[in-house]
Amino acid sequence: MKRIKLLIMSVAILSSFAAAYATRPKVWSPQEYYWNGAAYVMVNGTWGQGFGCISGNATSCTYIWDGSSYVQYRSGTYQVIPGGLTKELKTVK
Amino acid sequence: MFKRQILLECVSALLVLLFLYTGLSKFIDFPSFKDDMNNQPFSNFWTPFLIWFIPCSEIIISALIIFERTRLYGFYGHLFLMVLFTIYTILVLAHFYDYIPCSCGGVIRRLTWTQHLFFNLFFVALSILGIILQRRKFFKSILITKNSFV
Repeated sequence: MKRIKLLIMSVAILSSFAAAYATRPKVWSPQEYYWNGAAYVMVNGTWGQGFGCISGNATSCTYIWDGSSYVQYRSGTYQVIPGGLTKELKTVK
Repeated sequence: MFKRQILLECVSALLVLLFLYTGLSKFIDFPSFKDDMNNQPFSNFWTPFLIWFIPCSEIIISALIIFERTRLYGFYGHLFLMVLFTIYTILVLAHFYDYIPCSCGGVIRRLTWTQHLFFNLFFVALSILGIILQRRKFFKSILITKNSFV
């Protein structure tokens, strides 16, 4: 019984480490772009601070350059937030 | 008895798998996790506290569940955190906040908020099942000890 218990828990622990390692981001903080209707433009500042992606629809918010084309990175609606999300949007109803 | 022990062990393993994975994922991609936290609808004032509190408590709770002596405390901790996450998910889905933020944390970020709710409810149920099984086991062991003295 003890062996079975040890086996089950070992599988869970090792799987957690393996899964966390396997699903780590391949690109660390890539340069993001948004589509302004005519061209891809660099985003304003960092995610959550200078810009946000407001969910609610399935549109593409930001893109990254993968070497040959722009591919979707975040979904939602791109929104520039001067001063961060705190001032503009973070007001609870 | 044997089946119940295996069930308890599987429940514990699933809870450890979830929290250890999400806790580690947050530390592996810490800058993104911080940004995700800033993108949540509550004040950025909480970010420095939450970015440490959430992954650390997830890993500590996993450790509590791994060891049999502290397992019950781990189950309660797991239930407490999962209930908090579920309440937050319900508030987001009920449009309590002005906007719907991203759902974050490893591959779980790919779930929609509705899927997130069912996912959380499943783990709330698992935590409750774990508490019930562990308490039964605890009281049985007390009874056996008492009977051995009689």
